[in-house]
Amino acid sequence: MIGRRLDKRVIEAVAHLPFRVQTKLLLAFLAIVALLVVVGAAGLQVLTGVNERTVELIRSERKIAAYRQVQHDTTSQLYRVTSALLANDNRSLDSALRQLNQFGYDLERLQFVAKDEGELLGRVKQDYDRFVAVINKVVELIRGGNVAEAREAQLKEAQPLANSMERLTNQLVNKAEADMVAGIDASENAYRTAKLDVILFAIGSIAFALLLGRTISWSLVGPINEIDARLSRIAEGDFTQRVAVPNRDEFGALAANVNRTCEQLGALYQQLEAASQHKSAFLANMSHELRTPLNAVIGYSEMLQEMAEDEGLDQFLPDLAKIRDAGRHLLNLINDILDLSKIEAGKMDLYLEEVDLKALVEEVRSIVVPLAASGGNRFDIVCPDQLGTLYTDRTKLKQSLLNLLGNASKFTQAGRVALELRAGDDEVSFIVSDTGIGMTEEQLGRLFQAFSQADASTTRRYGGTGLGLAITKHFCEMLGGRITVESESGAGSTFTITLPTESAPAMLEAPEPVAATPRPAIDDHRALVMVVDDDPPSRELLAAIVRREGYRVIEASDGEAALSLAREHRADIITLDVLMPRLDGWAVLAALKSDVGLREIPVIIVTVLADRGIALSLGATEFITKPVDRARLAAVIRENVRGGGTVLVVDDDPESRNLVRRHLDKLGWTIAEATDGGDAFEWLAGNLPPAMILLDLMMPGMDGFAFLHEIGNHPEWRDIPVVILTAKQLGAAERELLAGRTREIIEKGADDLAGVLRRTVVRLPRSKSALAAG
Amino acid sequence: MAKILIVEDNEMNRDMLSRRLARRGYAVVTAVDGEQGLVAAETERPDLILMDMSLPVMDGWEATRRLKAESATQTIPVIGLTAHAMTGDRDKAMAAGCDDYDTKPVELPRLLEKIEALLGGSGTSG
Ligand SMILES: Nc1ncnc2c1ncn2[C@@H]1O[C@H](COP(=O)(O)OP(=O)(O)O)[C@@H](O)[C@H]1O
Repeated sequence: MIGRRLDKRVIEAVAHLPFRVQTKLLLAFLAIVALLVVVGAAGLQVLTGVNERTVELIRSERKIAAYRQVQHDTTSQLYRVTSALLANDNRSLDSALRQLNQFGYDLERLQFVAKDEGELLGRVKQDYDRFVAVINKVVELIRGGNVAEAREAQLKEAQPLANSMERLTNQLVNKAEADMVAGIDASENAYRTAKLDVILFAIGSIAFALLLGRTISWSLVGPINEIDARLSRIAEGDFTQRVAVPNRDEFGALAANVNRTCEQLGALYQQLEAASQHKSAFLANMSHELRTPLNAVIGYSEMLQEMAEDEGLDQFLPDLAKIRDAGRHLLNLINDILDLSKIEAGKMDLYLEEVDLKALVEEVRSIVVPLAASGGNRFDIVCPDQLGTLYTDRTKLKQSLLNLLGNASKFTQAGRVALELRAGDDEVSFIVSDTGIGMTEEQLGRLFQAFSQADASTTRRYGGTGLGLAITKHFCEMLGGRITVESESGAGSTFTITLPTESAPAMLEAPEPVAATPRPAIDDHRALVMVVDDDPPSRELLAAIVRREGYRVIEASDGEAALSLAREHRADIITLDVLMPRLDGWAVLAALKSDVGLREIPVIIVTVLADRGIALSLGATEFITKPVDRARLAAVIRENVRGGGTVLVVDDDPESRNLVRRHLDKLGWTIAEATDGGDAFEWLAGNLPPAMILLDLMMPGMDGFAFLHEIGNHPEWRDIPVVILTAKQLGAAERELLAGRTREIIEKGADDLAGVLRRTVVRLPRSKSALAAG
Repeated sequence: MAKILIVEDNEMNRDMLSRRLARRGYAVVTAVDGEQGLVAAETERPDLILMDMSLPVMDGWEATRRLKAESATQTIPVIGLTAHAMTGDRDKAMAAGCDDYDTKPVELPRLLEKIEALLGGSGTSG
């Protein structure tokens, strides 16, 4: 855990170094080379040590050999001397003495070589010198013929010396051998330690090199991965996040570039998305506007045709027919475009019902027979006797079939057009085949795209819009099915629609459950704000802001939920996000504004888009861009929460009551009047509590102060906001007294009474009487 | 002669439809919005009503609902007319109580068929 964090730190630190990638790699390489050199040097040193010890051992070896020689020589000398003495002839005695002298030289020489064993050698030498002396004496005695005495001397003096020399040389050899063993041990130990050192050092170096390599490569690979991940998110259409890499090298620059590109793409994407929304809204509006005059063109041309026929003005008939046909064509085009734009905007609704297939086939037959006949085609229907029902959208299925059969008839001359139905376990296939001109591979490739006709000349020869199949495909998909095609140029085409027996299309998902918002208690008179946003965090944020302003909130997570909740709860004001799946904000806005019951509800568009103009022209009250400025949102809501409740005006002066009534009427408030405090309590007792009480202070009977005091004793009314409207010049003490109990003090005769009133009442929550009335 | 009430706010459509139906021998009366339509249905007692669905003041759906809720006008067949068939208007029209439904611009032969079918059934054609 800590290790990993440290690891990350180090990598980040390396990434953060303000060097170019090249420099970093070079530095890492140099560091590794330096390590190699150090490891090599260490190895070399160990080798030298080993070599030194080997030389040492060789020397010991030689020494041991020399000592052994001494030992051997000693023994053989002694033996030779003894036997020479025994032999008692001059020649062997001489040679034994020579030999003895030679041995002396050898010993002498050894003393220089083996300083360590100097003391032992010294003793050997001493013994030897004495031995030589004794032997000389013995030889003298023998030569003098004094053999017995010589024997005596030899036994008594030479023999112990010889024994001692033998013992000493033995010791010498043993010591040298022991030294050698110790030397071998020491050398082995030293070798082992050195080996361990070198290995440890090498391991350390390798680990360090690996770590260095890893750090460097991660500091490079990390940002690549990061950028790669970001790019794939961008490819998926998510432009919100940024690449964050600590690098200050080429990758840092790359990341910055990716970020900039992403931002620009995101902005572009939003613009495009907005543009596409506008296109859909525009098309929907336009096609309605276009259809109305087109109705007249078609209708009147038809009527003229009839009249011309009746009155025998046959020369006009062909031209009138052309006008009508052109009109019809235009109308089809507009209808198709409208359908397509609705589909693309996700606004095409489905009406699922049990569809009786037999009846549907009959309907289709009656329409297609004349179409097929006009091209000299036979129309066959092949379907099993037992045809059940299909739970689907009847109109869309029928239109899809008619599109296919219409095409088949259009592109076939004197051939055969057929509709075949096949029922599977949980699907039904509709197979439309013809023996017409067919299509090439290339034509098939772009068949289901909008505005694609097999070739440009088609329009001229066969008419059509190139939208039919695109719409048909969308319909099939909306119904949970699919459409496929097989065709051979010149031989004919076969289109197959396969639908599930029960369409449960994706388009009709149940709206997401809305955050638990209990139905507001009827006696909660605070205004109700509906927050519509598909993104939970921003919805919650908006709701929190609104709630903090003292309003009640309901939340809707998509357009459909918004519409049904608006109807159910009669929100006082709606904040509406634009970019939402399925039903987007523009569509919701349009639906709200076209619903008599809802169109009065002010709608505040809250969006990341910058389409204030569109929003206002579609009927939005205000337009706020995200991220939301809290104060502005609060102000906008405050300004737009409509009146519509009741205001109780307590004033003895009919003129001032009238004045207030006129101003508040305009704002949509209902006015109740009372002439003094007592009267006001009577009214309160018989009615639902008003949204506000506008109170004069100076009245006969129960005056304003007394009223305020009294209402404090009634928990059911105590919370009704009271605004003082008075001509009295208030002293500080009086203001103090009123301050705790009233919301605002308005002076009669204020210049801008209307404005003050408006500002005061729009801040008021909707009253329960309004709720009850609404 | 059967009397047909056309409730349609667009002047040209109203004019065109009424003239074309008149040419087929129907007596035609017109109204321009839902409320007027209701009044005309009461006073004129038409044999059949052609009701445009998107009307000002009171829309066709509401007007049809009210016609069908009123015992005096309940039996008068209503054919709902809307601009375009794909939007589910048909279902809404039928749900509001329309006896039949057609799209604008009308294809007169088809509309006449529907009118005749309804009038024949109601037995009040003349
Ligand atoms: N049965 C068919 N045989 C040959 N070509 C066809 C057939 N159906 C469609 N096509 C080709 O596909 C094009 C697009 O068809 P469609 O989307 O229905 O638009 P259109 O309204 O032009 O018919 C047609 O223009 C035609 O070239």
